[in-house]
Amino acid sequence: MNTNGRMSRRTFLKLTGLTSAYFIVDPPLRNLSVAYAFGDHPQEKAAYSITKKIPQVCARACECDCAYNIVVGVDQATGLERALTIEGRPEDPVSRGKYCIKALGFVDGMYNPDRLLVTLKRTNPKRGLNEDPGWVTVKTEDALKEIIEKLKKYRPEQMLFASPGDPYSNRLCRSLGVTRSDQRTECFGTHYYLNCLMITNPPNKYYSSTYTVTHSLWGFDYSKTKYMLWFGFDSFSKTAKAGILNHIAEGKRNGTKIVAFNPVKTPLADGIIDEFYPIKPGTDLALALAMIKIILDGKLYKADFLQKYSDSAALIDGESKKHLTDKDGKWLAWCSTHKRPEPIDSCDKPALDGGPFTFELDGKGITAKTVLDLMKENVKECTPEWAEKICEVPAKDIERITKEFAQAAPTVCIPNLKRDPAGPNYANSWRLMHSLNTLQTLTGCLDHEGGVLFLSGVKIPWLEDTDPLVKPYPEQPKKAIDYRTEYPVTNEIYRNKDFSAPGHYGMVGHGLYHSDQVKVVVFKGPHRGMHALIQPQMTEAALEKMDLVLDWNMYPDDLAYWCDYLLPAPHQYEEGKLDIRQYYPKWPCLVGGEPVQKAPGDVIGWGGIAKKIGFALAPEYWTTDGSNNPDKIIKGDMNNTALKAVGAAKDSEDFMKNKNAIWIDKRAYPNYQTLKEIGYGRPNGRVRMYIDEFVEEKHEGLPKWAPRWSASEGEYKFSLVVTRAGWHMHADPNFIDNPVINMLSRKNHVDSAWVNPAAAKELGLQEGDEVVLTTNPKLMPELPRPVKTKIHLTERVARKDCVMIFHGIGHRSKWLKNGVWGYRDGDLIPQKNPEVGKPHDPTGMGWVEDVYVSIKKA
Amino acid sequence: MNLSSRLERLNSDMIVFSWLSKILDYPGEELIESLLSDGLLENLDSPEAGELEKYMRSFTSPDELLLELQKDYTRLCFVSKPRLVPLFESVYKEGKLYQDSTFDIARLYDEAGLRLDEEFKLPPDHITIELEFMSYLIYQEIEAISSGNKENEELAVRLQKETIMNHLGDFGLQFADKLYEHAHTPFFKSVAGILREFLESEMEHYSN
Amino acid sequence: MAYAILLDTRFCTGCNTCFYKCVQENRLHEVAANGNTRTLVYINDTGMYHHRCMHCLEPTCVANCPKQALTKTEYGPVLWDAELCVKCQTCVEQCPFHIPMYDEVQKKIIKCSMCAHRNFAGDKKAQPACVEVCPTGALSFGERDAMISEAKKIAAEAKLNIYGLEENGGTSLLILTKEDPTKVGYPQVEKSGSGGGSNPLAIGGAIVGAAAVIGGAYVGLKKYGERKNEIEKNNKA
Repeated sequence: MNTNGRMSRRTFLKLTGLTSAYFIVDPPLRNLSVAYAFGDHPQEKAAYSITKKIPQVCARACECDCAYNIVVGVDQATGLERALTIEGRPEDPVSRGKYCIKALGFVDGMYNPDRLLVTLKRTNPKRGLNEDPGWVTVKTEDALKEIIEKLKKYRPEQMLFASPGDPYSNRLCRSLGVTRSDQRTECFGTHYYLNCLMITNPPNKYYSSTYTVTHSLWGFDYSKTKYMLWFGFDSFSKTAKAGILNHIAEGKRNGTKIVAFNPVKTPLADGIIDEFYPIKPGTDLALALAMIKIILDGKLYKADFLQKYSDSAALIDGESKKHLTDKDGKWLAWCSTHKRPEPIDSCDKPALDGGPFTFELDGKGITAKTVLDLMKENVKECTPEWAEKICEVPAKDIERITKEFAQAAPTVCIPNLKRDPAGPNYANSWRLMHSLNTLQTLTGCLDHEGGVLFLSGVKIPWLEDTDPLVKPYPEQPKKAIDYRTEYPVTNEIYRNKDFSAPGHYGMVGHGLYHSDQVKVVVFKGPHRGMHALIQPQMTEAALEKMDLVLDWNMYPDDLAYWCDYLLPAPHQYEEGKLDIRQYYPKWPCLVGGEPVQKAPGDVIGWGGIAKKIGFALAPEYWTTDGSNNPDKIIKGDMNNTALKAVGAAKDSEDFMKNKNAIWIDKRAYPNYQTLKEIGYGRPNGRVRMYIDEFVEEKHEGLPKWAPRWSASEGEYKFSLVVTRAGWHMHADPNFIDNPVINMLSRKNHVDSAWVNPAAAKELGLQEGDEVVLTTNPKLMPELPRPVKTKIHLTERVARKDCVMIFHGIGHRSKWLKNGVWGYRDGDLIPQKNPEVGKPHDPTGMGWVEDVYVSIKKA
Repeated sequence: MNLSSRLERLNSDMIVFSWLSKILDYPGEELIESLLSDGLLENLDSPEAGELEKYMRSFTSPDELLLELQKDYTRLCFVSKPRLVPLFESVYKEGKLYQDSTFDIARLYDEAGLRLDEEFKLPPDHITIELEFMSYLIYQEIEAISSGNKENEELAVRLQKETIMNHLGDFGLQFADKLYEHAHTPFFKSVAGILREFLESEMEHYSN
Repeated sequence: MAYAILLDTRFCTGCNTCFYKCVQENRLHEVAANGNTRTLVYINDTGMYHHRCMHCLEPTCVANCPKQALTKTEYGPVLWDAELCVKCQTCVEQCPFHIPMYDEVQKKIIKCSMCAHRNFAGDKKAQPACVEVCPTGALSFGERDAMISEAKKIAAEAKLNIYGLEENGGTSLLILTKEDPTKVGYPQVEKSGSGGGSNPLAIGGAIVGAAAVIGGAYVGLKKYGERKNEIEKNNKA
């Protein structure tokens, strides 16, 4: 382009040659319209800027869901608004006036110049990272019509919805009879399933995993607890969870003792933690089992609690290895007074131990032991010395810590959330979760103030409650693409109890890749889900052969290169909310959030998409009368229903306008009351430590030692430890596409793999060297993708046998340049097919840290 | 400059601003039809116009041309990260959507008595809106001259000057450069050339 | 009344909420993206290092600024005046704590103002933005004497080091560390300050005369007013 030599002023158009059509008679307006005749606009100027505060609730940044106000600048003259920052809400019991860097990042995320503002449609049918999709822009409404016509051609088993279990996704998937499997919530599956199997059989009167984002039914009384054990709880991700940290800090100032076991020394270990042990990765189970043994041997458990609120005294049949029950299905216990089996609730004096007991039941000779006796047998070998050899925590410390913990009970707890070792990290993590819940049962801290706080007194209803079904849902596909149908323990919950339950993210990519069953995949915001987690290369390869792939997202991301349509989603602050205070559920509480602004562009909400597709394909589930009358489409009045149920407000509007968007019932905490209401055997609910379903799958009913799936081998000697920076959330572009946050990451080496300096020395590596991390090929035989990155030498990696990498920091696509500096942790972690997984884990989780890698100079 | 040549110049500018506004919005069938049929290009006094016309005539069907333009426009303005050619002024000036420059230009629309239509869902500092605004202001200047309304004439000239000097001048030139650099189609390269040439002449006018 | 910030690094988790709040409060997005910050926490091996202005009682930057673009206010903050600054970057070179940064793009010195625009002198509830947001309360704010008493009390109880009591003649940011602060990342700095030196408006604690105090107060208030206007201007949208 000629940019030199400025032209003299001239008439730019040779007007003489033009038709008169170009002599414009009407004002040349297309997108602007006249509000005032020119020159007639009122000349007094309204104030340039005023600020208002809009209540919002954090979501998706972490499980705390802090409530706060968004501070918005408003130009009165034009009506334009812009959010500037956040202000705390001290009245919120979770956040107590605090919030974190991610919430602040969300504010700027609304104005990210790379937001998806229009619907994109592919014109090049060939998919892949190196293919230009040839996008064109289409109206969202038109795109949806096209999509609906295409979906009509497929059978339910040919479609997969990769979406979390929100009410609209659930209704949509169930009404179409398709499988729903998503990675976003799935990495919390271990906690969810163990809680379902031990504490509460869903559904119950308070808990539904849809609304409890980490699928946990409790929070922890961090500010009141006297003693906490952290099994990897102090990950880097926890360093910015304001809703938790403000409570932990208060507890700490009041003298809470915290003991942590973690191969990584995070900043929490600098000042907040009292004792830190650099445990060997994946061996926490040995430590937990030794603790159980110490408590059992020393009778340090809370016997009253065990009698009343657990199955400790329940009898397990020596032959079937399952709970013995009476005709009504009530567990039987051995009555020490009458010397006979009696229903556990009406038994005069149930024996906790002292078996085996031999008796006749329904004419059959039985030999049975109590759950507590069996537990003792199970951990017989698990001495502190035995544990030390495995986990490398000194035996004398295990003994002392366990006794201190038991002494401080019941105001103690073992916080475990999401990606801690008791999550989906190792093949033995489900056993660890089982053990930690067992430890909390033995010490009576479950559902007790100062311990583990159970959510109660409030519930946001399901769509099925507000808009009941006119006819039952169709059957779900016999064979689910994520292999869940091969895992009866979890499949039973998903199919018959809680459709919002997590699917099996550790296998869905494998399922798609190794079969031709699925032809259509619908993604809901995959930057945090399917594509951000394990072995995305398998999902990518699978998507190349699909007929139709679509994605509803706020940003175009890597997945876009396999999609036929990209539908623009609103920012989380552009939607209304109603939230329970699950992360500090001491009191029943509801908080509300209002949309901060109207989403710019041709944006559509997920509920809108679900209703349109659902009504077009299965109208009988989407109208109040089962007809196909569009006037009868369901309203989904969940928030108003929840508010009315507790008398918080007439409706959402009343709640937001007149009730300060918060309702709280500051009643005294009813110790053990909720457990009674929701536990096994309700109305006299109990913890079920012995899990019959595991026995049916040829595993133990009680936790038992098992090593990790993989072992160190030759050059593959670095156990992979995955964490995420406090200012990131998966690969969410709100953070990784934020240049301010990218700068912070670089200054703190979050773009590198972290290695212990002594280990680096042995490898001849120095700070900043480029290296390649490669997974042991025996663990990842298909589609391996080594990771290239810089290394940072740091004592924070407290062991020589680990390498720590950060989760969710990179994009790969050459068209998505902002995030390219980061690597993808998931590339190193293989998908698990049932052949690999089933022998180790009846819950079918992903074991995202159960691999060893080599480190070599690039 | 006598009145008749001033009016002729204003008319020309009004048409060019309006044409650029249309052409820098997402390409639709209407645009192609008008481009191919109305003879405006032959009369555009810019070396780029000839190139542009030649390119357009090289297509056998308007649909084919339209698809090419839609693909190029979408790739440039709606997909990449960072966007190759951001459509909004604030992205150039403050790196984000809805920043101070967005509010400033919206205030000028307001002063002229204009509102953005509800159907237009993108931020108001979109290049197409700023160009449309200029066209409207020139229209009002012509009207004011014709009816002898000095006050309106002054207002129209002042708002044009502010729009060019504080907004479109800088932003429009940066936009043109990015468009030229990243466009695959000769169409948008030529449009970029025309936009730059035109805005430069406007800036020169207002800085005198 | 002179104010100070107390940082108890035991409670700092390196979350950097203070950093991002500062960016939003002072609209520093672009300079921060360039790597220039008023406050940033480095997660070092031995502890959390906060790179931010110490607001010295006898600031070296003030003493060495040839244009009096930097001033020490009597209420605590060391403030920078964009209009007086000739961008010589003497302050960048001279600061013993290596704090002021120069943004090449915006031609600005980037340095903490202790959120002077928040008018904590006039509003008892006001505090700097970083202090307001700190999720664990690792940062606290108040009158310097009270902060010193608090720091000494905590240090005695928990066997901590106090950084800033004497460094460069004492500072208005006081830092409690478990480890030796110089091992955490805080620079080893002479105990004695740079003195009022070449800048007669600088306030060197008790050693400056009454006239200088009045002068300093005046300049400080003026700067406070200007900062406030600037922030309001920045935040107008």
